[in-house]
Amino acid sequence: MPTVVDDATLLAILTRRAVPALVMAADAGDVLCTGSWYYRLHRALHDQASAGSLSVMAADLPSATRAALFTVLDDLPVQIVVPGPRLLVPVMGALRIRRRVNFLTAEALAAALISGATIRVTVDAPLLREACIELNIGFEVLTPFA
Amino acid sequence: MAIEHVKQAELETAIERARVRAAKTGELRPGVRDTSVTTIPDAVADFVEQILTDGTYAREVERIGKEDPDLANI
Repeated sequence: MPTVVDDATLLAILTRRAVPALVMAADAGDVLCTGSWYYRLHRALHDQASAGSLSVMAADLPSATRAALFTVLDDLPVQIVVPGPRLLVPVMGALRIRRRVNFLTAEALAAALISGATIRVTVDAPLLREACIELNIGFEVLTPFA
Repeated sequence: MAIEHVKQAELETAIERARVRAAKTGELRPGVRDTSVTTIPDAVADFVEQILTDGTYAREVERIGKEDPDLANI
């Protein structure tokens, strides 16, 4: 079954340190991520404008390591599916759930609904969890390493 | 109840249309399979594992979410 993963899980998969089942699922084209989560990952590690602590840590890495990290970020393997707005927005617009959700959450729900995937995140998000129950989408909060 | 039914039908229609579109474009099933396994330097993988396990990444996500609510975990 396909899985929509959050940014932290995606990062663990990209460095192949995630649990083998996730890495194998990604290699098989069964892992999806959303544009919002992918963008947040990029922003966390490479946002020169806001200079968050993690961007500073990344900038302080030895140049070869930093370059390899940004290559990983910039060059997603083709097997990782990131559905675009042409596909997702009509479903996001048709979501009718009890509590209004933000763009990131609506995008994850739409990706899961279209692909018949479960959603796997590293941090619990109450509105996302409630919406998944409402829409009958599988929802898991798990570390990518276990 | 009738309104709920209409809303559900609208969502189901949108999902079905998206699936038909995805089947045509292959957007959910990349056609080109990259069979090569990219070698990730240990230093990169170690850095990533550290920030994901020691809370650094989670704190950064929280900060970004405050800065931009559309990227927040809610």
